Amino acid sequence: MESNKHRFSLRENVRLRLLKDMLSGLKINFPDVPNFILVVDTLTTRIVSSCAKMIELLEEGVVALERLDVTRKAFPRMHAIYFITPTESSIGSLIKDFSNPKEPQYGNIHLFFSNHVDNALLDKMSKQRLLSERVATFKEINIDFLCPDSNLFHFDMPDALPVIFSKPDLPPSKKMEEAIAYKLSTIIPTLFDYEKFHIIYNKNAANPVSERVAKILKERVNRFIELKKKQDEDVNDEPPAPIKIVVLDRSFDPLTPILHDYSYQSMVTEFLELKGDMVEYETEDASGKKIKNTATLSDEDDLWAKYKHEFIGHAVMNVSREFEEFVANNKSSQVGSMDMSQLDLKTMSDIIKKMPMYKELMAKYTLHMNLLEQCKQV
Amino acid sequence: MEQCLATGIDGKGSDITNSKLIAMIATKLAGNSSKIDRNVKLRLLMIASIALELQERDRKALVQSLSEEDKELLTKLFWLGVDPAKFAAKKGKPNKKLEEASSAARERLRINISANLCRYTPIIEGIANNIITSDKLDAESYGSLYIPNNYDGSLGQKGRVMAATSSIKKGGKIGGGASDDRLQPKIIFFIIGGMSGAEMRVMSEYAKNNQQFNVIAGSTAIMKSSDYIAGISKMFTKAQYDEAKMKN
Repeated sequence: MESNKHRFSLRENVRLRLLKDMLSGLKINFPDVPNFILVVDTLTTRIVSSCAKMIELLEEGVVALERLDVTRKAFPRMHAIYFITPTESSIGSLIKDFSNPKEPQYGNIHLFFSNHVDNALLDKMSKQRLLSERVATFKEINIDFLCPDSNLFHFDMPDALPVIFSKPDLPPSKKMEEAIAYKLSTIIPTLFDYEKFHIIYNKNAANPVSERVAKILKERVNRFIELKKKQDEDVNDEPPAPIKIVVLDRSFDPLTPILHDYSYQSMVTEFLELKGDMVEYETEDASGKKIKNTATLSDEDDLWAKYKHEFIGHAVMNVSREFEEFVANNKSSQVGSMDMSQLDLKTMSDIIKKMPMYKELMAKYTLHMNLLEQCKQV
Repeated sequence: MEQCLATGIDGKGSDITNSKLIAMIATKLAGNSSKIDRNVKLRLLMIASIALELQERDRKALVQSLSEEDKELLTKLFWLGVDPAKFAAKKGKPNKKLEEASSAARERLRINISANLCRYTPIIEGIANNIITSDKLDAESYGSLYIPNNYDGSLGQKGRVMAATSSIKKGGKIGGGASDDRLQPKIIFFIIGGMSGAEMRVMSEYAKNNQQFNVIAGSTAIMKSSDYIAGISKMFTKAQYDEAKMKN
């Protein structure tokens, strides 16, 4: 395995930007502040939780992660970081936190927005004196996408399909195209190094969706390049490699999404209950009763990582083969062959040390055999 | 059967004519029609409408068993460029996308017989491969924007040199990815209107086969076939659109 080799990962870059650009940056600028509260809204919760662990946040001085949309305990002396989307509702909640002069929610605040804040909302915030006098940091951090896999991103906008394609030139569709281009552009600062771009779009004479999105995207990318030039005292002598962005609208291929795909991952998403990366599946216990189980499917599970894109038939074959190998190897060399009559403390502790790993591995094999079996039945 | 419809060839790699395919669907729908799940029926007819360029007469015959609501849903495919009227006008001219699909499917079958269930190749795979093999994309179908304006879009030789040879560490700078990343060209694929499981798989295989690039794939949403159908059913009908346009 090439696990040691560095592999580019967008999700890892998001993690770096959250932990380093946002949190470590604050620690440098405010060395006297020991702790922060991090406030997030519905979307940014998902961004944070998809790529950073609570312990990592803790290491950067975040002692609590709070939801913007619920009533929270006030800490009028604490510093709070708001990592939120620049929407009416989130900024409305932010203003509400500081509407009562006698009971401000927090002391100083550090605002980080997931995307560009438009002037109307900026105005709205600056008019609130109680809020604006507390703002110690204001930054558009520009991370506005979800990263379920290391190099896969999406915006969780299922309405884009009906709105953009069946309402061309109507206001909701125009607004959504702009939102999509703005969100897409936040991938760029997350790449860290960029200079040259080639944006490709598919031509659709009836409704040039991707062309419009590509043009807005180009403006945004230019903006990021300008900003970068201002702050960069880059010492690298070699310019960064070019970036191609291919923007396609669904009309380029309306067929593929209807067809069933027979890879392991596609079958699981299609036929089993999947919430985030939690999957629900049924097993039978000894008495033949059906029980519901849940399991997490992520790339940390090496079987899943290895076989999720394989044709279901191959996945079944490979997982059972690996399982057999595993059993065979361990029968001869490990627990199975140990002479239990001469059990001393050392062998005992050896066995115990190995047990949890076995248990976990065994459980993993059974999980995948179960899932594959259920997919095959459909 | 789905795979036959989408690729126009059978499990052994031989062509199947449209009339045969239409007959196949008709039999499938006629045989205890009430027992077939609504979604199965709908999916089958959607695939047929997109892949087969049905003549009006055949289309009418096939959709008979659908509810009014589902018939209406089929017409909404028009928004995604599926237009029966255009098919009728073209008469006999072969469908380019479909031809490509057949030849790709034949190739898959040749390499691997168990590909029977996955003969069909999502179109994005062809686009992705073209981007690397030929610097010029078909200008009739694709447009380009460049930053800076005088950049010609070439990926240069950098992509072919292993980036690890030159690694200048960014001492003390906050943020910044691994410095090797900066010298690897990146290709981002983005689909407006949802990405399917098959496309996610294709993108991941593509990334694995082209490690001289960093490949990133994204979409407005990740969807399964039922999400896609739900999205299409939420679309305006032409009449609804015209009305909204008038008011605007």
